[in-house]
Amino acid sequence: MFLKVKNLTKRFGGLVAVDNFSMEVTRRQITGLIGPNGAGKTTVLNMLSGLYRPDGGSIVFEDREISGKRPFEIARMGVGRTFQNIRLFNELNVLENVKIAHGWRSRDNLLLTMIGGTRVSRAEKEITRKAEECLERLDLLRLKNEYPGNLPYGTQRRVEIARALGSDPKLLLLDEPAAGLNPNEVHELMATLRKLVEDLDISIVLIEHRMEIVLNLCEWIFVLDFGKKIAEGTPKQIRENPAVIAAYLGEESRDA
Amino acid sequence: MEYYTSVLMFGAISTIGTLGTFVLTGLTGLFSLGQAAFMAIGAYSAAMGVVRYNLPFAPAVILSVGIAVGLAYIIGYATLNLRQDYFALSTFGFGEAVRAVLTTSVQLTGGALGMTGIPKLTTGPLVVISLVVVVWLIRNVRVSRFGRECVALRLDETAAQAMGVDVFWRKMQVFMLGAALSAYAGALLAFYTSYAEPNMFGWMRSVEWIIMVFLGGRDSLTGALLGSFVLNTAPEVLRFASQMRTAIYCILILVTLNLRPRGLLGAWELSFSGIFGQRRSAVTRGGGSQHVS
Amino acid sequence: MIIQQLVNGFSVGAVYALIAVGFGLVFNVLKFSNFSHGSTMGISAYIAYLFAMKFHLSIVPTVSIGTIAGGICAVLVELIAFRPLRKRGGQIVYFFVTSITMLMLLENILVIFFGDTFYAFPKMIASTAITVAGVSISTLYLVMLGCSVCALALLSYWLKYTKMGVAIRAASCAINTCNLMGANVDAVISWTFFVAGLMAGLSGSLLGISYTLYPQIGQIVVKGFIASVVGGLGNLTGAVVGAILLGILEVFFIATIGAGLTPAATFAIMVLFLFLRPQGVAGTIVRDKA
Repeated sequence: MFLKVKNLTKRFGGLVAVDNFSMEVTRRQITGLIGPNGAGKTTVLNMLSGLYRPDGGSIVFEDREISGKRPFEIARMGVGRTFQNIRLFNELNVLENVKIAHGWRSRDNLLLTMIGGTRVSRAEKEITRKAEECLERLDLLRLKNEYPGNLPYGTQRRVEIARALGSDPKLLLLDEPAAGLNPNEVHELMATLRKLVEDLDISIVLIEHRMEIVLNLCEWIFVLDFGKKIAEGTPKQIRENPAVIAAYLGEESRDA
Repeated sequence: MEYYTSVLMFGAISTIGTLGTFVLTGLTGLFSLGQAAFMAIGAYSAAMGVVRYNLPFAPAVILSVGIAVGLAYIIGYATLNLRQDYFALSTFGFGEAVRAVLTTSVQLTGGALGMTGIPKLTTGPLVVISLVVVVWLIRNVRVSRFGRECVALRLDETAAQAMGVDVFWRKMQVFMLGAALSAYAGALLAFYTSYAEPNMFGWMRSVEWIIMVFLGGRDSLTGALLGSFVLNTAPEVLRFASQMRTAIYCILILVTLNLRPRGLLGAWELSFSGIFGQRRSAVTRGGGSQHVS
Repeated sequence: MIIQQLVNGFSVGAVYALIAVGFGLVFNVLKFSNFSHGSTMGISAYIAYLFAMKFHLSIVPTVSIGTIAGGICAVLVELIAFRPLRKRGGQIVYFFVTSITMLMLLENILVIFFGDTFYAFPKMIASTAITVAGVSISTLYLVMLGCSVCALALLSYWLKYTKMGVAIRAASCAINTCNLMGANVDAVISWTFFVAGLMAGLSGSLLGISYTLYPQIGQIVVKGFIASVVGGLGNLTGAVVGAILLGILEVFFIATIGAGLTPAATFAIMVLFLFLRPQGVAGTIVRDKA
């Protein structure tokens, strides 16, 4: 099994944000994680990427237990991610942003770097090459010298995906990648994600608020409400699931 | 003439220490209020090695740098996992602790009156070569992935972690590097002035270094170099205005922080390619523009 | 003997608490460590000294003048140094660097006007001691303790029950929301600095009267810094507890191992404490939402 999450639990004080959540993800699959506001979707993602330490349960990624490992270790094992509220490095340009994710692969150390020499500059060139490759994939290469703050919102989201690809992940975690995008951009994004799965042989787990995107894009969907899994299945199954409809209708009446 | 030479020597030695602050505070965003204490450790341990234990000059200096790095390792290990404020506080406490120990161990260090009779072994060429080498080393760090990762973790630690940057270890490395540079500068200073006293290394000195780095530009090695060299030498040169000079500098800095928050030079670097039109260096360009939100 | 030390430590700690609370107030609202708080202490102590010398004032008017001078000075510092920065939306580090620059600048201004020498206030408190149940407390410590406790009580009342006090507490939670809600952010911040400045002025003049006056007196602000960090940044009660602990610890160390090594011992305890209880005395920890 590629990714197997079992009985994952996270508490914040008295609040159980995620309650005994289990999921499985196979290779080359786009999986959706949906649910109303505050359902615990981002908390699941944060545990998968190591930002939160689970209070219970296990996360096995490619036969290795990763819960309790530190974020950078998990990233190096092949889990890349983006953030809900875009977290690009604003004082670094687009290319440098992506290069950050490549850095840990190069075989150098601080002392060698300080002395300098061809080995270091070769490593730097390799990092640049790979970063440009990632940018190319998302059609961002011409923007490589721009600063993220000057780019439109949708483009910033793409830069974040390019950065997440930086470390050659096998699993990509996307937290609301379509938030704030216009319909046109959403369409492009979906095409891009499908292409990424095909070209790079990766799996994607994405959080999305809007049903129509998830139903269109994902092969398998998990639905969370108040930290609990209330349903899982194919888009068709989810569309017809009464519990899901109730949760979403409940959400709409809560908003109103 | 001799007077100006010694002023320049002081400036160059302090600049070596300030460059440690450049990497630590400028690039990585860690505020250490105890950098001057590492300078004290460098000065005293090297001096004591030579004077009390008859070590030759070079091994004594290397040993003193080693001691500083070791202490930085211990303090960093205990505090770099914690919040930023704790790090600033701990380094402050460390600095005062070092000063207290130096002041009270009268038999070893001469106490508050200072340690005298240190042989004058620091020569002009040694200082110049040291400065050039240190600038070269730091420049290499700045343009490498290490420098980039330092900036990234300063901007967003969580995001840097998620991109595979070992934030804790990177901070440790930077802290140890800063300690090493301060200690080396301290050793050079002690063997230049033949004298060391605890009050030369108070926390306000660490604060001054931070200010110098911010004046020149926290992302710009050229700026930090310029800022620290000017601010380290000019006070001595402008002795006639001795009372006013600190006030003038402070006002200058306040104005700079307001008008050019990223420092006089921003992220601009004087690069070899810029002068000689040869190989392009990997230095960040265009960062000088004001796009800080 | 131990009770004696405790009482002395408590008095010293109470003055540290004044500093820590003033320091903490500004930290709560603007989220940076305001070292210029120290220069406010220094300047107001000197102003109190000038008035005391010129008009032969007794202790109450002297301390009052110092306190008010502190409030005014802090408001001016905010107006000159921090407000332009805030209007530009500068990052927090620049506030911090500005505050340490202000500390240096104002310290230097004191040197320009008064020279780098020590001054002593005219004698205001008889150096007697009051003996209660076998514990003798010097009048000086008693005055320090009394003033600090009163000031802290007044402050906590003000923060709880006045409109501006509540506004400041609201701003501590979310300054930007405060803006949206129509509160006058500039006024709230000015008031924060004013009240913090009053604390600085009071602590500065008390310290000046108790010990001596010198331009670097403002550097005692680091005691407030230590106390508020150890107390748990952002929590005023924690800061007070931290300050009193620090005061007691210092007095205790000075009595046992001497003044010389006290900073080293304090440092050791502090690091141990932070290692064992990284959330500080108050136990709140600020979490970064991913």
